[in-house]
Amino acid sequence: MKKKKIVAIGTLCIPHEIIFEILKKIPVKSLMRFRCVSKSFCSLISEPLFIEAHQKLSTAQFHVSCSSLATRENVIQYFNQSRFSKLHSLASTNGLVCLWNFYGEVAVCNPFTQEHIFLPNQRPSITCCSLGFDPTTKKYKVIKAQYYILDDRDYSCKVRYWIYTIGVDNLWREIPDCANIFPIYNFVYIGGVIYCVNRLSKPYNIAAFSVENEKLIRMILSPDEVSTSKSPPKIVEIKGQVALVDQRKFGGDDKVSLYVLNGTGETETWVKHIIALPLELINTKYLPLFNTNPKGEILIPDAGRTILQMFLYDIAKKDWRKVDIHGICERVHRVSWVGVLLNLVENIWSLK
Amino acid sequence: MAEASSSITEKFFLTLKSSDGDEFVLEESIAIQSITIKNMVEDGCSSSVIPLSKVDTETLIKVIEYMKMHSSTSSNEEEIENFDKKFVSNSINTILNILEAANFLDINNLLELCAEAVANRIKNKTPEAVRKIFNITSDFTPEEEAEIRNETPWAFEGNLDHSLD
Repeated sequence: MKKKKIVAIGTLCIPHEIIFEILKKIPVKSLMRFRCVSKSFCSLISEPLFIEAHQKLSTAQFHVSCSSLATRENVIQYFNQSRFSKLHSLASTNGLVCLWNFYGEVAVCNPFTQEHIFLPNQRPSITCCSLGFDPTTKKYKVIKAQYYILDDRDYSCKVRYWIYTIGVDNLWREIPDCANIFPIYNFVYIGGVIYCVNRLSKPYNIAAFSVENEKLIRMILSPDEVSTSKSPPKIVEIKGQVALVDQRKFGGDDKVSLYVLNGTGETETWVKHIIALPLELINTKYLPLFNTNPKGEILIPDAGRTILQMFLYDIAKKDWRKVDIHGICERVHRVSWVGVLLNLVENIWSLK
Repeated sequence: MAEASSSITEKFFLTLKSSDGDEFVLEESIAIQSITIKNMVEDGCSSSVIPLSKVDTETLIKVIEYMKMHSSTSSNEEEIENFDKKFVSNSINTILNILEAANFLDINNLLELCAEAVANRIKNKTPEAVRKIFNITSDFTPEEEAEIRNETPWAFEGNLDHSLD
């Protein structure tokens, strides 16, 4: 796969593959600076293969600690810009962030390269977006589900799906023949597929969309305990696997159930985990905001105090750790964003 | 019984020859951390001297030191950690030479260690310092370079390191 190119002619001739290995381990800010070292550096840094390898490594080395939070300040400042203030929802995939509101506005940004684009406006409606990576074309696509109420009297509704390939499309393209499926809280992106829990009808099953083929590829049955419960479960990703959190259990209870979809095809099964909540979270009045990070830890930010605290749970060790987040809380205008922003992995992918 | 135990303890040795013509005798079990050497041994080249035309004596000494420390039979984890720390404190040019050797000899751990070390050493540097370290002459016109700088002026802010090591 790797090409043999010589970068420099002189006493040191460093093969292209060695430069590749070194630059892969360099943070995005430095890479943006190193683009002006030479034309070969510049073209390597914008090569899709390099960008993907760099992003995979920063995902593999992801770790939340007090010290890593300092580097997040720039990211948080970036999102506090007034141009994003009307966008209330966000989702991230591979460090890129999609922001939107119910007035038809959608933006995509890379906080590490400080690039952003606004996608074409569409008519207002209840909206949920997700970013997905097409591993074949190496392009990112935004999938947007819009929920329109047809008749106020019987709450009948219609869901339309739209897709936009970044760097290619000028307009949203409608995905035809999508069933009436609308995500309850969010989508998750895992390995070329975007998943969501369908909130429109019980049982609350999971829909899977292929980013490459731009269509619904299958429905996954939820575990019995959550599929017909009063409130739908929240879908998350844990180390590349689909997982469901039973949200009913929050609020007063000291435990929460998590179901992880293990295996593939015929051997696919839900594995149940019971998570004992830390004391601080048991009696909170609010439904905790629930996220996961690239290490497979579960995160719950607790904003009920002067200092924002982040609780991280390791499923394998069945152990909570707590990180105090100083100075950031006041500057993020939406607490729900903190969990996402702290989880971003560096990505040098360009939106142009 | 006796025969079996002697075959386990019997050691095979290889001779590695640097580009400067110096020869080094090394236990085969240590040398095959290099996939390139391992493949040569499996192809039956081990009886003669293995010429490493791309690796000079100074670099080969360092690579052999590394392979001895990282061979499965000796050294505990703490020793290895301390050795690695000291190993990457060599000059950046030395590490780049080792990196090239590790790439040629296909010693993945050594390649990772050195690439990480170089990355850490250069990440805060100016583009000018990076050019000098890698011996690269810029092929951008001043206008082209200015354009790239203007695209991301924030990437050039802060305390940048001008040193060459």
